[in-house]
Amino acid sequence: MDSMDDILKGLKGKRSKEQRIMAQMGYPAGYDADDNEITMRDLIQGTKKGILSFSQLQPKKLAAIAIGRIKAQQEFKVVILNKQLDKTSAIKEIEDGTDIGQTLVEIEKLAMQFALNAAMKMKAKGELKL
Amino acid sequence: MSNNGKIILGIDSSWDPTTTMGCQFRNKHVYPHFKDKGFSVITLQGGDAIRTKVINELQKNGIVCITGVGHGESDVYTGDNLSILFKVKLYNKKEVKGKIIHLLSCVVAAKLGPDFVKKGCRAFFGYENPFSFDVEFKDIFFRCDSEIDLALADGNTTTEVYQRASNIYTDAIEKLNDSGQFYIAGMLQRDLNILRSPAYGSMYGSQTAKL
Repeated sequence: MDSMDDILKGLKGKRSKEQRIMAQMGYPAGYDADDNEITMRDLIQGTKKGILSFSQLQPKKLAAIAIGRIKAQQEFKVVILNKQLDKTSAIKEIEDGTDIGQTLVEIEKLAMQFALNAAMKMKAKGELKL
Repeated sequence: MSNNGKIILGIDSSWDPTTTMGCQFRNKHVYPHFKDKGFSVITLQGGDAIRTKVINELQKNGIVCITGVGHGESDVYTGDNLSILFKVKLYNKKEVKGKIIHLLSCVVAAKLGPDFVKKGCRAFFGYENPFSFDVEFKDIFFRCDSEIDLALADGNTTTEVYQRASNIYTDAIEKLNDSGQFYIAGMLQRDLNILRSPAYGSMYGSQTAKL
């Protein structure tokens, strides 16, 4: 069997890690104290007060953030349960509060945390230009 | 220890694009490994993945493991065209007694897996919530899940099997993050989070069972 490295080698996209991180900077990532949506850039800069990040949000707001993040992605084609989902159908699943929708929200939370961790490491190394 | 005389029963749906992808991967990478390790392999796929044929095969002596890909619900594992293969309360305990079962299927670990164990299945591996994958990256997802079968074939205990699966998931997640594929990494992390096995609790069977 091919090793995971071999599988991953054949799947590397056109964009670098840095480009992918920068692309996420404008993605919705939480809310501030005045209930305004904030981006990942805002989270990293830490200049807004009373920020509630993705993991601290109530389900309705979590869903709104997840939808915003799915809309922002260049491509979206995933399979959950027996459904192949594109952006439109994925958003509908979240809006309808289905099991699939909840799964999509969970994935967005994890994906955002991974992206945020990577961005913070870049920032710590002085490699992140916001 | 020789695996001569031990039979693996593979029950794979392949009636829709999703299950076909999983079935193809398993035919290429999973079943050959079982054979390399000395197991006999019987597969019920496509139109053969139906309850009557499953019952027929399970009457044979020597089946030590049931493995497969197919759609599922909390209490059901399905085969061809969503036909029911196993449903809580609607199968005979002799069908699962003494076997290790691994199903790449959504939600079956919620009720069906623990029910198998109550009926005498030695160990169960499966997913408690919807399993998700990205079509373009499908081989990564199938490769991670297939580590369960490979590790079982290699003679590992169920605890070691889970550890190997967890390791390959974690390694892939790390590599995806390193290349900036955060969404795919998130999906994979979610799948690992919902993977259930004896390492999670005794409702999924024995931590020392092996083939």
